[in-house]
Amino acid sequence: MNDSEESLLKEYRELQLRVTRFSAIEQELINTRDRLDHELILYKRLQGFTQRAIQNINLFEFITLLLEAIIDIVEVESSFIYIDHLTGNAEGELFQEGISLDIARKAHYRSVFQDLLKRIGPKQAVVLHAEKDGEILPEELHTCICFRIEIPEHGFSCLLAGAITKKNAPLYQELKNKHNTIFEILCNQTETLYTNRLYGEELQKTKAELQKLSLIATQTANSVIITNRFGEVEWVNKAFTRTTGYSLEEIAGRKPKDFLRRMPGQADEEKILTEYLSQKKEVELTVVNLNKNGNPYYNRLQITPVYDQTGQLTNFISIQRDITREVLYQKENDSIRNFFEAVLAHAPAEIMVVDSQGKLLFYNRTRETGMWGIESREALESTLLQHSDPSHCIERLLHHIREAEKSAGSIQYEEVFAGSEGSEKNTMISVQPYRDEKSAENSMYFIVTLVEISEIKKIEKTIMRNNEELRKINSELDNFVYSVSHDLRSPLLSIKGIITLIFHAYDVSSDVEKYLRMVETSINKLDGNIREILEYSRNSRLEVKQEKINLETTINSIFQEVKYSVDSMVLLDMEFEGEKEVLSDRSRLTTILKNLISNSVRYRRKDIETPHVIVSVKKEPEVLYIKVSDNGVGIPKEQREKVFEMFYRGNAASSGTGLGLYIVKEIVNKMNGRVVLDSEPGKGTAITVSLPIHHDDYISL
Amino acid sequence: MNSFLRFVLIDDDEIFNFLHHSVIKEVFPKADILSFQSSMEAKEHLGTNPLRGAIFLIDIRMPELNGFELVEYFESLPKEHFTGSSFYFLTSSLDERDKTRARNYGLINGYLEKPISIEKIREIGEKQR
Repeated sequence: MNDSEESLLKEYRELQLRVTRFSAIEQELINTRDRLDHELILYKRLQGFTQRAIQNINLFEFITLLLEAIIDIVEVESSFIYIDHLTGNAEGELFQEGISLDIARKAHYRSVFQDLLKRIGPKQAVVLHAEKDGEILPEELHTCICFRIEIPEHGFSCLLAGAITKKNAPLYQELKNKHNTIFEILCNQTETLYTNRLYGEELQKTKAELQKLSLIATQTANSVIITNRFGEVEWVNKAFTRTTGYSLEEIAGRKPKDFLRRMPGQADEEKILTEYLSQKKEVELTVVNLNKNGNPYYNRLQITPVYDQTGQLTNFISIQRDITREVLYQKENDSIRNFFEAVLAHAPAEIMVVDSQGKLLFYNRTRETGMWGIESREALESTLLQHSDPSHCIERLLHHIREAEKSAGSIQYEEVFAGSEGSEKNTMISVQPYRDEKSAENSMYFIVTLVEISEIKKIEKTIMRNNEELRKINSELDNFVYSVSHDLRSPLLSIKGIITLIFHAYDVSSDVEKYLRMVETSINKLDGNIREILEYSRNSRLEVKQEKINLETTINSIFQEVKYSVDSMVLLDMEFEGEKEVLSDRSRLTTILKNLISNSVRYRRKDIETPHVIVSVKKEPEVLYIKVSDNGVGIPKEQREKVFEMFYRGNAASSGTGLGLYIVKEIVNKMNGRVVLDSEPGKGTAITVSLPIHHDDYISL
Repeated sequence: MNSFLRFVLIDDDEIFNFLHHSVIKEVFPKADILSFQSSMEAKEHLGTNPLRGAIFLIDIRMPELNGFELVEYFESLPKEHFTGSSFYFLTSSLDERDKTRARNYGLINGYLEKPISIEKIREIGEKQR
């Protein structure tokens, strides 16, 4: 071989080597072009997803689209989206595509992804392989690529994943860098898209809310002022114009305090307002403002500073309300209340108002001036613990309040309080339940009234003691009177009986009979005297009774008795006007009639042929008139007053005791009646007794 | 007609006993009359000796044992003690309370006022037959 041949060969070999190299490069270039083509397809798919996702689709469509996109773009078998917060339940929500899972398996996947979400960091794709990350992957998975999306301001986090199962792994290429990269891009875009969705929703909500708020601000009856951060008016509502008379045009850009004048003399309020506003703090208070016409009104105002997200003061909002009517009403209320409290403070009774919890709502005394030793507006329960002294009284009061609540009726009881130096104070307490129908709670109150009755008690005791003593004396006197009358009458009656016996047993001479008759007359007179004295003493001591009396029968029996004692003829007659039945004291009425009738008989004119006594009874609804008239000797004018005196006898020759008319007058007085005497000497006398009539309903008294 | 009547008079006043005795004899001459001037005596005697079909006239106001107390004692005795007898209070008391109290005794048939009349004695005697 020569040199040239050799060098040619050498060149050829070099050329061959170069060709080989070129074809390798060419192959490389083709491969690169294919790879780029492939990547381009993936990017085009990504673009397609993005274009469809930004259209106005609902969340479910968005998720479906995303699931498909993960499979297409990352070239995996299946895709998963795990959302941590969506339904608010602790497990989160799992969506999947490309793999079918039964319910139990799906729950397993859900917990796996929930776990993964916590394990991997955000903003970065992580690839997990079965051979090294087997414990944290579901066993059927060969490879899994994950990405965590976090939107903290919405409390949102989710996990996007693509996966290939072990079974189908041979059919898929290994995940490469480009897959990682494009998956990251997909996930970042998803995050952006989702964030935009959330903001969009919020914006809609905010807009609706703003509309409502502006409606409220415009339409409310309260005045609303919005100022800028310097306090210059930007906006006022209609109510403000109505209340103050200023329209927005007049006052825009001015400070409220410059045009809305305040009544002088409110230095304290001015100070508070200035202090709070300079510190940019919320303030609420009432001032008296003057409206455009110079009329004052009570203005309840609330001023709130408004800050933006960065904490910069942007506005003041002032809400104002004209409370003039409320204030005036309150003032009137207070003055009425003060008036009544002042009146009650001077009331002789202690008055408390207590609610059913035992809380004191009102008390017209203080701890020092009142019997209860408590202060108004103090809960009775707590007082009970604080003061040992009147605690039993308060315990008993609470008991009676509960009783009154149960029975819904008033309760009265007596209570003894300890006075100064060991003395006791007797009181009468009344608990009156009171239901306030008008109050919303329809609650029950108790009006507790305390009246001191120590004096009354003392007097009552004395009266009781005196009464008892009097009763005893009266009873002794009664026994004495009856015993004396009995002892006086007994011998008289035996004499009388003996005389009767003599007449029956012996044939007495006319002289002896005359004497015996005289003895008998004297005995009858003496017996009559004893009876009259007894009647007088009975009248003064015994209570007036009320019983049904038939006047006709009563008068008839008196007539019989009187006739019996008179030897000559006397005409006895009676006449009635109205009912003959009357409610009265039988014994007293009988005594009156007996005395009047026997007086008329006793003082009859002996010189006329037909002496008469007429009893006229007239019953009116309220008064009973009984008139006993005669044609007897009559009473001289100068004696008319005296005949009613004790032991006065008009005629020295008369056989009376001088007690008859006195007893009549005493009895009539006792029965609240009246006696009228009408007489003409020589012609006759008429005595009229008028008695008040009691009706059936008084009987029980 | 006048036979078999038996009267028991209990009165601390001797004259009344005599008087009532005479009045009864006047109406019922054959009547058997037992008089006690002391209520204690009457209690002792009648407490041990049963008396049937008699008319008792008892005064109320008596010393030691009054008429009410005596009647209370009589009521405490067995009923057979006084079978067929009738009891009357005979008194000069005007005290309404005595009359009211007398009504409360089941043993008592009536309340009579002194002095008793011949008519009254005849009435209660006839009633007893």
